[in-house]
Amino acid sequence: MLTSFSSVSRIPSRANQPRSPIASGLDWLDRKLPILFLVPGLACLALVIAYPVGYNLVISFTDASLMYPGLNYVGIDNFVATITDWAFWTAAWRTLVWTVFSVAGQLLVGLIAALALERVTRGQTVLRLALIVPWAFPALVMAFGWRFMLDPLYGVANHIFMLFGVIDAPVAPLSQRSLAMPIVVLLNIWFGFPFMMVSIIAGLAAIPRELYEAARVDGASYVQELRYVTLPALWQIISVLVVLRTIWVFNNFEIIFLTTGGGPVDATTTLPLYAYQVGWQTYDLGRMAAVSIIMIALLGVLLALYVRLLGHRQKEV
Amino acid sequence: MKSDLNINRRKLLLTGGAVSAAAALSVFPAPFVRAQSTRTLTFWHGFTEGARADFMVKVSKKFEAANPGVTVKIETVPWASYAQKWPAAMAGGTLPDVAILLAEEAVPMYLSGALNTTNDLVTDLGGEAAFTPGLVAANSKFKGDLISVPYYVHNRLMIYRKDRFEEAGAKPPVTWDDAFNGAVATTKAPDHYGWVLKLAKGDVGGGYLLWMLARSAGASFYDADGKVTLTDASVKEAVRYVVELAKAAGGPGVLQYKISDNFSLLNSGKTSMVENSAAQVAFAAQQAPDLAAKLAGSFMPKKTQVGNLMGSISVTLPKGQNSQDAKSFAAFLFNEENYLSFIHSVPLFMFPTLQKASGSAFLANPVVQQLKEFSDLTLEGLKTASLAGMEHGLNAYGAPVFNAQIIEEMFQRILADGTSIDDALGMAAKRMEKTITDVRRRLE
Repeated sequence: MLTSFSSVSRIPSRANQPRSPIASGLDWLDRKLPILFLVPGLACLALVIAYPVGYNLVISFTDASLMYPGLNYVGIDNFVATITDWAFWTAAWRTLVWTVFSVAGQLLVGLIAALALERVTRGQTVLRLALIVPWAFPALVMAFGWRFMLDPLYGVANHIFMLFGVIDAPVAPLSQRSLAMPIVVLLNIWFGFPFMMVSIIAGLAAIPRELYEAARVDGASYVQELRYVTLPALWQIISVLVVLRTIWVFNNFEIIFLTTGGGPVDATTTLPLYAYQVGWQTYDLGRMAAVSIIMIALLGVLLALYVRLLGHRQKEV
Repeated sequence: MKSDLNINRRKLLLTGGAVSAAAALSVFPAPFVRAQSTRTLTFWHGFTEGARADFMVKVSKKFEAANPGVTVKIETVPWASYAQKWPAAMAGGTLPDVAILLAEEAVPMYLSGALNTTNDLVTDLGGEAAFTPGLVAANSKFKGDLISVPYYVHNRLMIYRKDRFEEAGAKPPVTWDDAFNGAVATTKAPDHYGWVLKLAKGDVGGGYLLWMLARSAGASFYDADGKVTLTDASVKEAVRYVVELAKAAGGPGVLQYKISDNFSLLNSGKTSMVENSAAQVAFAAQQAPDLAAKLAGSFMPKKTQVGNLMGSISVTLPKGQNSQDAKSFAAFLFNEENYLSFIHSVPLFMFPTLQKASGSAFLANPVVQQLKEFSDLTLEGLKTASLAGMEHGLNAYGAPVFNAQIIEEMFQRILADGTSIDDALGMAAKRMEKTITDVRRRLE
């Protein structure tokens, strides 16, 4: 207390004295100290997010090339060239198909696996580990593994199908327009469902047992428990998972690139592959930047739609 | 206490600032001090397999021993990803000091300002006369400067299973018709196929194959001025030939195999023919001698002439951080002892560019002698061979045109979508024109 009084008594006398610019500056620093502590974090964020996004935006209005030095301002030419390119819209449609079916499939399989695991009483840990295996694979190993299994000349899939008389001659499913996209979607579901499963298992563990007991006392069947207790309780987790996975899957490049390269022709060319082809095969950095800006906008629209739909659903439950 | 706390907070900031400044000042001079004592030389090459990758480690260690204070940092950049890797490195300011690459890649690198010239290096090595006659001018001279140094060369051959050809009563694949008939006759689906073509996206197999066949019919993708001639009748005939071959004897996987699949396709017996350099036989001789004994070779099938495609791997001097040691290291690679050791590290894979390493010095190797048929064919073919898209001389269009994978997409449209050859060729010609126009616009 004594120290406080003495401090208080000193302050007016100091305030009356003329302050040097340095002292005033230091006083200002004192007052703004919390902001200063935020500066390193904000600087890091600016460096890793704002700078690349800002740079990308600037570049999108130029004819910058990965191969040749120098750049010129070209206005909105890159955006016009992109949105008038039919290949862009077909890639956008394929991205939608790839994202929606992949996320829906991952969620469905993840939910079923989590619910099934919850009912397993013995060997649950081993089963959980076994089901997480696909998630643990590096994308490179997974993609080449699947490519090899589906290979028309060496692949085990053709061998088995021919052994059982399903097909007469080997086929190359990744080279067929009608099969390539469904296969990469299935592959992505296989790869991504463990993440959904593990998250849903955590959500299931947090549901109070009393709710199930009360439902059983009321005579609820398993399906009714699922409908009125489990799913409503999981809804928040599912919403977050769907939004997160949508962002990841929408932007996923490596799975398709390593399995089909976007082919046959353009059957599996999604927007990230389209952007890659524009940027790394024709070295058109400016247009690649424009494609990525449009991709961000499209993803934003998709997520806004999701959030709105999921928000409505949450209110209902 | 409160007053002290306030003062301490200010002091904390001042002290923090002072410590940061002192740390920065103490750190910045360090690299300059270190730079005087040790220097790092960054070296890119694309040799991923044992013998040649090991050789590069060995030669780098030798260079370090001979040049105390220099550390050679090797980075392996696969050939297929080189076209994407160097622009990224240039944008990031991380270009290497020495790079071994496909000769055609040197042109866009030079045009983008990523390369130093090799005029002095070639002079130090004995001038153009020290190399195979005409080779440096054809492969390395661009706009009056030398931009690379040919390290080794090879030529695409038609390598085929002579046991299967004999069994089928087929003639060696000398002409288009011979090759087609041989491929069909040696197809025993689903066990193996005559000629499994490599037309995958993300590769240049289709482009290279069509270029060789078009050349053999006397045609080109574009003329000396860069005017696209892809829709000419001779090119169309070559496209039709490839399409019919793919359908009749290519098997189901032609749209997903790449050049790098050549070795496994032939070594596993899944194909009876491959278009590849003598390296194919060299590896078979090392890894599967029984198979090597069944292989025979000829030039690529011809229509009116042979379309010899040269593979030229060259040494370049990119604008890295250590140009001081780069030239010495590049010259060290061509040092007589190092050079011949490298050329023979996988015998028959690499053919020498230096005169002093050619002739008896090269031919004395027992594997080269054993597989003389392939070395003779390669050496003969190299006399008329050129880099893909460079038949009219080194130009700026070759690398962008092939890297854009226009031809592969065209074959995919025809074979996967059923697009007519005329329509697919028309679309490919438009893409090629746009690619060349873009390059030309940049150069103006």
